Amino acid sequence: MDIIKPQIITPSLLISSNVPENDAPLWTSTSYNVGQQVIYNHRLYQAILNNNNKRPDLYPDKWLDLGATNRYRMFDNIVGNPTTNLNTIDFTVTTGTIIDGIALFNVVAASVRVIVTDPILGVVYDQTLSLEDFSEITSCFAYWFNPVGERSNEIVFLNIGNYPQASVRVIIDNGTETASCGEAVLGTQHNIGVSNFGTTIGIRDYSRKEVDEFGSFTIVQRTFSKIADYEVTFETSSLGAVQKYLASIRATPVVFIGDGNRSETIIYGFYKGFSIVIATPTISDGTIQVEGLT
Amino acid sequence: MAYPSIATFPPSPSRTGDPDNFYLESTAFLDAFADYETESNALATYINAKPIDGWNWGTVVDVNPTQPVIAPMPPMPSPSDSGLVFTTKADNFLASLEDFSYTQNLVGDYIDDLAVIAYSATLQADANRPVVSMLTAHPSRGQSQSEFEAKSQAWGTSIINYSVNLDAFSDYYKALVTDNDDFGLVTETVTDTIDYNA
Repeated sequence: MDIIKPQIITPSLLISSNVPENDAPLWTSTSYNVGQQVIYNHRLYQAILNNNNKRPDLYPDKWLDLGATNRYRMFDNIVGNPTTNLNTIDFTVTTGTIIDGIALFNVVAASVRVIVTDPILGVVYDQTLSLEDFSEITSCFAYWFNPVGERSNEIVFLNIGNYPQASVRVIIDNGTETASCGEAVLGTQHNIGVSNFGTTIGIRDYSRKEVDEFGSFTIVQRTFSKIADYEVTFETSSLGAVQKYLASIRATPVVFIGDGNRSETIIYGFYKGFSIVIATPTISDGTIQVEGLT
Repeated sequence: MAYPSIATFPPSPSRTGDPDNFYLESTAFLDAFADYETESNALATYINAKPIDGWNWGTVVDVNPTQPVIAPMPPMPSPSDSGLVFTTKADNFLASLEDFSYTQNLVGDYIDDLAVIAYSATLQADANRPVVSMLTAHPSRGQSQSEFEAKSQAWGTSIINYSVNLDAFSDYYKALVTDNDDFGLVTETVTDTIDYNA
């Protein structure tokens, strides 16, 4: 059971990106009319009043905050609000902290490559992972006849190494089509125990299903979030540290990884609670209830 | 009579390597199973009936032809496999089947190099002679899922057994034609007294 505690990617840490930040003109102290959009501090705003020359971040009654610009949407903690770019999304960050775990969510791509370059040691990590998803291939019949080209939407790079001064380059490649990434989480990986069978997974669906007096259904498909109750075995001697660590990430979006090879057990979200039974002097069992972000 | 040959398989499909053409290739490959089953079993029947037992003192024309190498086939994906492991094993197995079908022809050719003419010595049955097993009924597109699954597993296992048997037979044959008792190309007068057993 690994947890990646994210490093907040601020504009100063984003060394480069091939995603243009041209969603709208940069804000200047001129007058804007209703519907016009501007970029201010890497966020997109839309004027909701005419003759509006106020600074967008200071006057929410005059500007509608449309969220991060396309370049920064993948760092905005909203999985369903992706950064998109034709062919590839190629960015580099230098955080000055250890980035030994990377998780990407709501990804539309064929493959993702991560290159970590230490200023002294050079390239210390270079791995490309495919997003091809074969999880449904569990039998000969499925091998021959299931749809081909199924892809996963999540991908995780773990155990990258401890290189706090390194630059981390991520290349999300979708060939000739548009690459997309809902959330890129780069952070410090922490192993708290061993996740076990018995873990339950599911989704929370926010779609609306209403029926009128004639029995006709109106269905509006909306977003959903992943949920899981992880069954975890801890070393009893480490329970104090585990409790302290979990307390430190309370109400904080982090990446929970039950098994890096099972995308269904990878959730970007927060834990609602945990309970651990101190069962024996050596090992103890517990449950962590996690709800994902949409 | 020459050995019954095996038709060349179309290119093997690969989910991991070539998803764009998978449907086209997998359909062609799967449909080739019917002929492959018939041809492989005909070859097995032919080999099993070949009079090349150890004590047949026939005229050996080519004493030491080059023995084809039969590479061990990779394992079939097991029912407990899933995901990428299952897919990779299936890809590898089908690719090896394509190679094996070619090797079958080499073995048939190799065995045909031994031209046996009925000689005065009595043909003795050799109880240790390997027997090439038959393939089971192949899976096909028209079958139900449960039938397809059952036939796929049995089919794959029978192919692996076939390849192992064929390899054993090829080795047996190799030992036979290079055996010291092979008098096929003897040009000097033999003066030794040999117990011919019959």
